[in-house]
Amino acid sequence: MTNPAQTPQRYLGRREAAQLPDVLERVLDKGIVIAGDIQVSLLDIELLTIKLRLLVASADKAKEMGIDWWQHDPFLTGGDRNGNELEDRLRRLEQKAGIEQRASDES
Amino acid sequence: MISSGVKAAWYVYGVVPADARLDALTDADGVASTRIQLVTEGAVAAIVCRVGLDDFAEEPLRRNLEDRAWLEQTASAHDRVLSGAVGVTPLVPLRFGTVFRDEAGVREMLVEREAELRDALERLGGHVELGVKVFLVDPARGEEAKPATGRDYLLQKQRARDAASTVQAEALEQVRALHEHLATLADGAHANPPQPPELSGRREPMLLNAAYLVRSDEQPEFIAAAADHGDGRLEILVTGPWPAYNFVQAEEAE
Repeated sequence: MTNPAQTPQRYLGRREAAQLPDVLERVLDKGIVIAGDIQVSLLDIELLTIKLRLLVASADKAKEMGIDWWQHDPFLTGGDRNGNELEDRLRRLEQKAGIEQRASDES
Repeated sequence: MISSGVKAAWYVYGVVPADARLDALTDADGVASTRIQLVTEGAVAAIVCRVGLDDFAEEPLRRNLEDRAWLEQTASAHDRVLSGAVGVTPLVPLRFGTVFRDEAGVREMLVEREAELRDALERLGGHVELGVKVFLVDPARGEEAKPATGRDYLLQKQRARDAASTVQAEALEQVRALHEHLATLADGAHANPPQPPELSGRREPMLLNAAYLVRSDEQPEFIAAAADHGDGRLEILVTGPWPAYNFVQAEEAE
């Protein structure tokens, strides 16, 4: 990295710039959900375990840093469809799976 | 290859219009070493390939998902196949891991959800998803002289902390403005949680991790507009074009 402060880096519109985290974030957490024949509910729990590690960890971290404005701004998130949906889903699945709620959720 | 003794199932990547021409796609490397095919029903077609139940039945799939290398490789393959259709045809990307026991199951799903899928294809046609990540680069780095004494060192640290919190607050305002601006240029906008350094692979904090649904022919303008928000403090990273992963949730389609 040379001269990071003076020269903004711009990696624009190139597919090669796509990193694995960006791929995983999209492929595992986005995309339309269609119930197949192989049990998706179990699949969901496993994917959510990964999400816990990858995504919720990042949300918690962001909150610590005070970077959580997107959760509270209805204009930016287009109403309530973004915000707590994942958290709610996780909580439901965790309850179902008998996993204790994480301490950080209680605040 | 799927060996002859192993039962096969059908893995679905996404849905395209029935008349989509995807000749290039059929040679892509998918989640298994089988050919990519289209299963057509009415006005829509599923992008599928055969997978072995030794990897994709419930139990082995659960095991595989705990195997990080398998997951990364297979999830990347899912994206690679779909990416081959971006800009070629309207496309509804499915979430990873949709498996049917037989072709009839795939057809049944297409029949059941045809209206919904057709609407989504119509809405997404002529659009791509672009990702925009914004990093806060440290403008103070390397500016101060080496501290001569321990007291200087502590003062410098204090100054750096004060400066950092001011910078962060200002930067967040800047990022909010950037996101609002880009949202006006797009037909959809979605701000996701920023990735932590362990994920982004960067020391600098990520302030924005957003996706925008952009008209295919307006990509250059959008990318230029995003880049214009970059300065010594904010580094802008645009990724894509992606399949519209962020714009096919059920809530979006309603």
